[in-house]
Amino acid sequence: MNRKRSQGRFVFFCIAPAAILVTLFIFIPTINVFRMSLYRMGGITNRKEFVGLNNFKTLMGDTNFLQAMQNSIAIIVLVTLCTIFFAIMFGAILHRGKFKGKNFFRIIFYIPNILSIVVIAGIFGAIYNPSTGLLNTFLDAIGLGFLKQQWMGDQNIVLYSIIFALIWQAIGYYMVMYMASMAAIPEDLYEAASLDGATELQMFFQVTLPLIWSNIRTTLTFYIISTINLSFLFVQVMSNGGPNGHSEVFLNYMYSQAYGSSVYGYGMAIGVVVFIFSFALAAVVNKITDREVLEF
Amino acid sequence: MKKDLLKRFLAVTMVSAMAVGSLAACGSSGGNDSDGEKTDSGSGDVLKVAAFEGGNGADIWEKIVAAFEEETGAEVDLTLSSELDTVLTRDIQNGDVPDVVYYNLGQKSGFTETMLKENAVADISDVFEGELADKMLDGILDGTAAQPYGDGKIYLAPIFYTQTGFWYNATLVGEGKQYALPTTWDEFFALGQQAKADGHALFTYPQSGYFDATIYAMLAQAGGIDFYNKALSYDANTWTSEEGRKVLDTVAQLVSSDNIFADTVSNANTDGGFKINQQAVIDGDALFMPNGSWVVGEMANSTPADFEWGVMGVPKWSADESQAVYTFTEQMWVPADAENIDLAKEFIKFMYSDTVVDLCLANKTTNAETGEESDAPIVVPVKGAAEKLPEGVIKTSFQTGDDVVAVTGTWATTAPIEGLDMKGSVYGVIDSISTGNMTVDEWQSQLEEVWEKCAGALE
Repeated sequence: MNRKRSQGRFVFFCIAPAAILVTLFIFIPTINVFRMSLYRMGGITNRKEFVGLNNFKTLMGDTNFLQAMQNSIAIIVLVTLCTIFFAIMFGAILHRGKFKGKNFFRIIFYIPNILSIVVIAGIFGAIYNPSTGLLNTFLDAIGLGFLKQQWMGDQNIVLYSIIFALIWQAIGYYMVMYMASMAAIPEDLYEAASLDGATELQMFFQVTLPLIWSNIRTTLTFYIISTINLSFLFVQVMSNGGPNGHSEVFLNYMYSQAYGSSVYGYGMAIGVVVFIFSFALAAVVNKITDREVLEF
Repeated sequence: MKKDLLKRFLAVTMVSAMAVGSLAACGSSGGNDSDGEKTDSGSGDVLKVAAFEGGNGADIWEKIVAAFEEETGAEVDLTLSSELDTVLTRDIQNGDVPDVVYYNLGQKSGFTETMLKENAVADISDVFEGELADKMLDGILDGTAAQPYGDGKIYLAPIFYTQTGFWYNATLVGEGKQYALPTTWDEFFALGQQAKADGHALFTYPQSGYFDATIYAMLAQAGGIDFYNKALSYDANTWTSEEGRKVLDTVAQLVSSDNIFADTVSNANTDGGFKINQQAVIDGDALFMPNGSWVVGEMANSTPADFEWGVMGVPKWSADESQAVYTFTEQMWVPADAENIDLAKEFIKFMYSDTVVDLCLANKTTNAETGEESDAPIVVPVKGAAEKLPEGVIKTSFQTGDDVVAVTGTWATTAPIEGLDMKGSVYGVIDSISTGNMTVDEWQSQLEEVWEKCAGALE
């Protein structure tokens, strides 16, 4: 009895630091965001006025927010699809391919991931610059000058320019994750498949893909969360939402409303919507990708 | 048994130490400011001055504070930070309210605007009564940049000023140069055609936000001061009137592909790209841009020795009109919850003293990259201060003649409006107008909507 009690106490004290930290730094701030979204406040002084759900009502009719939402969804969908495609493709080639310098490529692909956002913005500033940029001068050099664009100045293109930078940055990270789970697939499965006359492509779809499915599912949630966060950082340093709001994403809009337009409570309401949206999206994606787990 | 007890005691101590330790590490950074540089703050009557550390440098504030301490015997606790909005938000929420703040309107953080919208700025009209009223530049206290609520009371003290206009490449434009200096819009656009043929674009802008001073000046130019003041208070006819429409049409023509430097919008929307647009004027890729006298220092590193800057007022529609010039002011204010309001007002008064005027004119900044010291005079808006500037383009930018109307003010302060991005709706659109993705009609109706919202939220 005594031993049980001391064991319980031990467990309690082991869990306590983490529980206190999570409560203080995650639960309480989150609850605070929900609470502040019900107020009209500037966020500097403690003057505030309770407005109920008014902030949310205004939000539903706010065309700037709807545009930011639309841009964010486009970014999440396109970045996820393209990154999955390229990361799995490169991962599979590096995993199954028989050529020299595999490790070299693995490192090259991973490098963008360790660069800071500011450095990436600098790199893409040098790539997208309309006169001296790498992209336009390259197009000129190979005789495709008619394809030159104002990559960050044309409001119909700017979002895709940012999406490209996001994909470029993410591929290496996910590729390494997929390669790790590909490496765990026993070689004999591939041998058996090849004895049955399967081509590399068939092996990829029949063996590799089903066996890394649970890994792909996990990364889908990562894609949603990291794209929402990274798109904010990329937009902040690359375009700040411009030109004329055409690359605005919801977190950037939340930031500018909360910290630049004196409507902190409204900014928090945007935060609540983003919070619920990302939870719901992750849940839906998790549900629809649910398959029976295959084991080796 | 004893050993067991000791073990348990040790475990509990270590767990608690871990929890407390990590909390302390995450929580406070102690009493000392990491971003703000604080001087020793004693107890008793100490004036807490918080100043934004920007292009003017930190030295000037230390000198002003030292002069104030010497003259009055008061003790000053100076906080200088380039992220003053963040530092002050934290301090104010903790109940540590500064007595005087130097932080301008129109910053990205909207800190001063938010304080105004929260009615957290004190009325300092009495500072400008008596002797000081005569000493101040005419009209500098009349606009909404000093009287943000338009109620006749002064809340924001204009402590520094600069004249804005079109800055140009005087190596190419001016008397005896390749192109004659235009004064009317017709001449200006004709020059554009001529320059285009020679491979120079007429115009560029660092970022769309730089149009604020231009549009203020154009509104005053088009409709006169009454029209301008009504526009600042969101008069419903501002943009539907002939004058308002004339301003929009002219801006649209100015930024159309015929006149604009082709990379302007791209550069304006990339990190640090505004400097590439400014460089375009120095390199002769574009001839004119809206800017203020700070551009000279800002671009000093990449300006060739033989390059000449020029500055002119925004063109007029007809040669016989007076020239409207927008005066950009920097603001100092007193929080309503400040403890030493009287001493704070003394400090603001001191900002207009001859001592401070001379200190500001003699100001120098040090280039962070090269370590070179260069003149960076700051002008206090009192009569005669600008005349003391050394000869040169900066002095020219401050010169006013008989036919010049000085215009000040900003869009009037309203109650907070959820979902409104004032800068984006008024100036951000210029990017889309320039690329041809939006028409003047669309801009006009967007402005009408914004004006209706703002008029409804005027306090």
